Amino acid sequence: MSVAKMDEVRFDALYRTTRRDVLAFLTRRSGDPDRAADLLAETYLVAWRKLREVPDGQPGRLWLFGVARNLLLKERGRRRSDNVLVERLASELHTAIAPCTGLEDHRSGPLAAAIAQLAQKEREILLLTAWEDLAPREIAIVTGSSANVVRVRLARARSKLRRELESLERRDLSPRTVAANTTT
Amino acid sequence: MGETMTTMRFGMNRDRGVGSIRVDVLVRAHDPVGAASLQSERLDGALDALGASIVSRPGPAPQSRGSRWRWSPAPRGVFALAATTLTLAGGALAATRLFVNADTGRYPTTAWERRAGGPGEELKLAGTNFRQVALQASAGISYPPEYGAWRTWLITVADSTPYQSCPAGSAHSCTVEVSTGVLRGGFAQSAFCAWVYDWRAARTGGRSAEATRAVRVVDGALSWPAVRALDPHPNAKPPYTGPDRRGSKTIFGWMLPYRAAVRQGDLSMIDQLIAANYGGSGCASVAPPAGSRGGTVIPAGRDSR
Repeated sequence: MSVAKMDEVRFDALYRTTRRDVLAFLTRRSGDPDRAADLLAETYLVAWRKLREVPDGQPGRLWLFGVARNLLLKERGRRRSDNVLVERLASELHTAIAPCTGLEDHRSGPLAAAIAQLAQKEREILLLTAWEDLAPREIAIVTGSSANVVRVRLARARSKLRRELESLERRDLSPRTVAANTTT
Repeated sequence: MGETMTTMRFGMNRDRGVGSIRVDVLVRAHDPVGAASLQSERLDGALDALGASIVSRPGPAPQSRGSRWRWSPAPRGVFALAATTLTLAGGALAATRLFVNADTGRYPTTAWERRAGGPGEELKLAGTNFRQVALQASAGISYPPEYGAWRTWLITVADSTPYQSCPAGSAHSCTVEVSTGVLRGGFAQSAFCAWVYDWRAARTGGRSAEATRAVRVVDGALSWPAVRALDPHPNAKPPYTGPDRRGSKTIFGWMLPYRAAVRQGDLSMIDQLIAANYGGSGCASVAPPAGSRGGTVIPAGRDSR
């Protein structure tokens, strides 16, 4: 098998085993299927070009998350792709996630408000834990920090979020809130 | 009402209290993109098509393949690559007492290897005889009279750009290599610039015959085999622009403005291009620094930089 063919086979295996995870990550983080599709294409284009740097197995998946995260961070002001295949993917993604709770919903409501109160790094670690199911040492690889730092931030994020939710709950159950809710 | 609202919003039993639930479970329950939502044949079809289009792009860069590390000629940067790699070779020579042959006998076997690493035999920069091999490789590339030491300066230059070091973690086994094609490209850049300087000096000094000769050489530089081997179709567009990054890559396109200025006899334009170090690595980069000249004795009045 030629070197070029071996590259294709390896990329194909990587792409098939990780693409849904990376697409879900980008969709959650960007909140926009169009941008998610665009960034997915960009992420795997980077992976293709740097295939020899991509580790095998789970580390490869984390490598991709790292690339996707960097692209998200750099995305502001970036030119959108006009690739028809990216547009097709975006269209299918719109259709696929439409029956779900909706991307708009997760950016509003009391939980979203509580999450928004967290520091950006704490929020990111909490969401990588809850939504991407990554362990602290894996998040450390994706974000380029140490596992201990991630653990500390995660504990802090959980604690803050818990306090924030308790505060929201107390507010909702205060006599004034209950009265206001009852009269409406 | 308040109790009901809270329970619905947070998806929990209020009797347990917010403090007793696992926060990330709550967050997970509010995942806006359920895993099942991305399981559709149509979505898979779109992903398959996208994946196929990605592998049709230029292939993976070969830098990290095994323990070898090869140059990847950057647009407008051939000289910078060559000069730096040559510097590394000098360091390696000083560090070893054993004879290491610069020749590897390896050649790129596929198109993408040629694109990525340049054509010709791969040479070990740490080779004991690298200097001789490099001089042989550049034998067909002519410099103006009295500028011949630019060739040797290219090998002995000390100021290197930092990006040509072995990748982290592989230093113990990293063998930095350069293809003969890229090496000759570096000499081509150096020689082209030497001829531009020579034309400038001849024009300034009123030596029309020498100026005419320099114009002729500069005019034909884009046809030099060393140039064409790396960049058959140079253009002056900025490298890597547009959504498809394949089309505008050019290595020697930076020569075009110099050539146009020399053709038109535009000294001020040449001055501007040199002052701006136009062309990524630029002509100023290939000129031996004042005081060293790489052993060159440049007659008074000829050093018009």
